[in-house]
Amino acid sequence: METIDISWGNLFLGYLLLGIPLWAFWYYHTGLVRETIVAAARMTVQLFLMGLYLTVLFDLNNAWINLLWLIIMIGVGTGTTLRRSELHWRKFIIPVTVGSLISILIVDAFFLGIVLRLDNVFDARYFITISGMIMGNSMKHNIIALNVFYKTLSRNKQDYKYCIANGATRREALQPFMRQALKLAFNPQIATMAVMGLIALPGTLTGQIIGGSSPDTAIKYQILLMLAIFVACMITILITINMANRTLFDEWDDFEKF
Amino acid sequence: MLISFENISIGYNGKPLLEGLSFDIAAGDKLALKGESGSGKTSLLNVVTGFVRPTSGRMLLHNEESNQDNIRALRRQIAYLPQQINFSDYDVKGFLELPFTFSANKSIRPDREKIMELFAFLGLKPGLIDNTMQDVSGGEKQRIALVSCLLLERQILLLDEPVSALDDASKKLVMDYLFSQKELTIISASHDADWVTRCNKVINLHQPSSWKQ
Repeated sequence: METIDISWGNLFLGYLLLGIPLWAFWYYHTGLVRETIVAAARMTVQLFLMGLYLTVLFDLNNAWINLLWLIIMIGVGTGTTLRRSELHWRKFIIPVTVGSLISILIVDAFFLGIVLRLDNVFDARYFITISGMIMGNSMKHNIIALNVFYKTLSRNKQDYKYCIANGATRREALQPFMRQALKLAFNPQIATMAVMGLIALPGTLTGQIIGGSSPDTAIKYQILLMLAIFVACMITILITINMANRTLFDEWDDFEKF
Repeated sequence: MLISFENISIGYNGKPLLEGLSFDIAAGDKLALKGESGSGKTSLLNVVTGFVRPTSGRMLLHNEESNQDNIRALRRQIAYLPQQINFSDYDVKGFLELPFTFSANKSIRPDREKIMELFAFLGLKPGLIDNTMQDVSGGEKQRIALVSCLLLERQILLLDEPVSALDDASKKLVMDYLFSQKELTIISASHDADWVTRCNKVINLHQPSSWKQ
């Protein structure tokens, strides 16, 4: 089954639909018109560039180049995570990078090596697409978790001090903050999983079906990807926060601004 | 002496806040640290908790100088009530149980009867235990936090503005209960004149003559 290509003219028709939200933003004086146009333009340029480099990467299909791509993506992801969570670069750059790298390596090894049993786990078609999807999603949830954990901890330092001064170890005193960070980072993902297939058709499944896969195969990929993303998010968050906390607290269990 | 402050100086960002403060606290003492906001009352309490390190001098608890190696053991001898706590995602019962989930306190987990007894002494309604911490008033929250400190049955209680959110009737109940506990050592930071009057030792941070008692 062939996928129907979209002509340039028809692609332009798609942009015309954007007129509806733009009109609403303008009408209600939201100040989001310019931002939306810039975002749509950026998306277009970035996706076309991505199309170009994916074509090159798929043609080359070289494990070292694919690994280099992964490292660059982790670097970009780390930068975005630190910028969006407004945390101190020097204190968090290593934990965020290591957290992302380890989670992607564990989940990729499991997903590509054990589940899909690929002869070459660095095969660009699988390694790059699946790593990219896992990384993008885990970055999103890592930003939420880091934001919630460190901002709540700074805002409620009295609660932390109450726990420490009343006998808690540092790990015990941080547990309420960790619980809140995990809840807020994972609640949307759990809700999405719970309604998947009922009120939302997920992207991978839709893409694979349009691309010609059978619904059976598409569903299996979708399930495993959801699980891989979920696990990768958890590994990233746990490693990042636990590794960062080793250097953020002094011997008296006190901490400075994050 | 139970606690000794020896020539303690405290400062932040190179600026001195308190200099050369010395005083002793005996078991059973009820001490009030008095002074305007920003005079260093909370900082002095936090010298005991280990969250503030003096720029010079030392604090001794049972003749042992606090340092980074023994601070966790020293903390197990105190209960600390900060000026404000939040714990907004806890219910009262969960909040009261929280300190007993810490490995250091697991063996002294109190029963409901003990909790209710303290609730009665401090004028808290038994039904409050099922509320969330967000739903209780400031005065109730302050007394609930005090209950949690008392449940720890430590010899030393560090109280930061312990009656600041209480009305006169609740304040009297709290003071009557705490000052009747002869064996309990209280180190408090307070603006409240009634509270300060009931303490047997008062350190006025603006009056160095009151430091050596």
